[in-house]
Amino acid sequence: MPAKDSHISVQLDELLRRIAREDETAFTQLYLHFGKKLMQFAVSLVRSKEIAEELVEDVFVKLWANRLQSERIGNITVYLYVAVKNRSLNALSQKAHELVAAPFDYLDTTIDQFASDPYDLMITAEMMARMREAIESLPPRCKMIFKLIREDGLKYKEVSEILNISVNTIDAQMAIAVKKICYSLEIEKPGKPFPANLLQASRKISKKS
Amino acid sequence: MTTSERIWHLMAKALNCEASSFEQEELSVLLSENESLHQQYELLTRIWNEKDGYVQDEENARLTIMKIINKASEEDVAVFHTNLRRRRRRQLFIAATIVLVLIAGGWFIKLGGSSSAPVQNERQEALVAKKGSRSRSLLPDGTTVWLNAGSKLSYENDFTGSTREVRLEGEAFFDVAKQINRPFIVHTSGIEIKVLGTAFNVKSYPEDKTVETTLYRGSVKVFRQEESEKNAIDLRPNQKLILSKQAAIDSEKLSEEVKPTNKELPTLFTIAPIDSTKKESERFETAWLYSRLEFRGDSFEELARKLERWYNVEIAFSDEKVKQLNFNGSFEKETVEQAFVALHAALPLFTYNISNHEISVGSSK
Repeated sequence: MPAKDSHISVQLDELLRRIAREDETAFTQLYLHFGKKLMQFAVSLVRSKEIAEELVEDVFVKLWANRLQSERIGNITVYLYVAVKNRSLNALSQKAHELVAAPFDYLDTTIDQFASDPYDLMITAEMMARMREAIESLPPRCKMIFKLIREDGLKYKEVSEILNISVNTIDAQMAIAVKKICYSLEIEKPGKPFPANLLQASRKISKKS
Repeated sequence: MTTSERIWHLMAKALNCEASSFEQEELSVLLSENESLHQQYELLTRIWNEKDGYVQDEENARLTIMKIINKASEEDVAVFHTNLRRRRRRQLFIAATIVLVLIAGGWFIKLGGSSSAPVQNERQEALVAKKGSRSRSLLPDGTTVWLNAGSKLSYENDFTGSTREVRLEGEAFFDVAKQINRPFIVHTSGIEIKVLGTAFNVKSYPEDKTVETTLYRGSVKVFRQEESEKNAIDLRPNQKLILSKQAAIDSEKLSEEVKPTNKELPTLFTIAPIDSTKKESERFETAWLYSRLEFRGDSFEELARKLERWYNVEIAFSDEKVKQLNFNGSFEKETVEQAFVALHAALPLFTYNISNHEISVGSSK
């Protein structure tokens, strides 16, 4: 299994190097890579699109203002997410801050849909819908972790640093998510057969690989 | 953790590429014992990494980036001027011995020591600010240089010689790190500007007829390449030197404003005081550092050149008289369209048409 995004890490390091040399194109690429994800992350915390936009912008303004010191940043992913998180928490009122900061239980995470054409992968539209529903109904914290890991492509360690929780917790939450998704496909539950034709198809495929 | 629970952990890790080879093996074993789980897992792996492939709306992103970079530049300048004020407060006397010496008719000897031949074979670095944008950079010696739109600064890679030399085309603001015995020299349009540690603005676009040097702090000597440094003009803080480029070539008089001087020779340059009573951010010469384009008594022709650089557009005149119209004003957040609306409102004696990045200006008759 390919190491997760080691390719991306190398690319991000390169971007940071170029940004330290005031390369605006590299800065733009960094923004293109993180902008939307950071926005969604911010929205899940502050719940306002306008505030989230301004927040994320401010983070990038600060980054560019200090571009000459960019190479001092270790992990740009963690740096950006933490910066957004901190500003988000600051933006909230004290009460809301308590609600959000501690258990991350009152969140509104948006999940992008699995994009694949169901027919390509022998998955019915119904299964996709069930899977989506399973993810949507994950407990808030679990859902946020799931989004950061699966969609934003962050590593367990990075999420642990950003949200200030242990890797074990992340491990456990992801296990819950995967289990729930599998259950939603109604395959694991004993007594319910896998749709027969699909079973044949996927067997064929596994044999090939 | 029971075996059945363990499998979820392993699957989750494997799907996210967080599983060690040990864990991957463990997973394989467990899956081989459970056909339906195996199939589920296969499915999941196939769809797990399919992402939306969303390309964030690129055009919007670029606009946002420009906004971000501009905001960041404002912060830079604000910080610079705060530091400047702090330094001034600490200093009791400014070593302002620089007097602007008029350079008449062109007898200038190159600064002794540095060769006049361009040092092209050394490793050269170039900083560029494209039209429509401004930039800030740090030179190897700690000097900060801001470049205005359409400008280029080149220097030798290591900057370790007995002098620190740069070549400028365009407009730049320098905050030179003080290094005694290592003069900082700006070469531009056939003149040299020599400093030790100081803050000054140089405006020297190839298409302009004059070179302007404005000194804010410290001391600066200005002299033409072929001339002796002894005849250099020393600038005092808050003074601006306007040198005519043609002067060195043929001794034509400046047609612009001429201040009385104590020499009989035709004046080929002018020294003017700048308004130092204004706040730094409101001063005319360095307005561009604050993302403001200011112009005073500019002919439309001159203004057009500034607008071209500022907005990265091309302006063509179809009428000669219109070129002579004069304008005063400043643009800060205006787009080029808004700028032209404002100009037209001030003086509705011309017509214009904006198409993409090309603007044509004609007579209104």
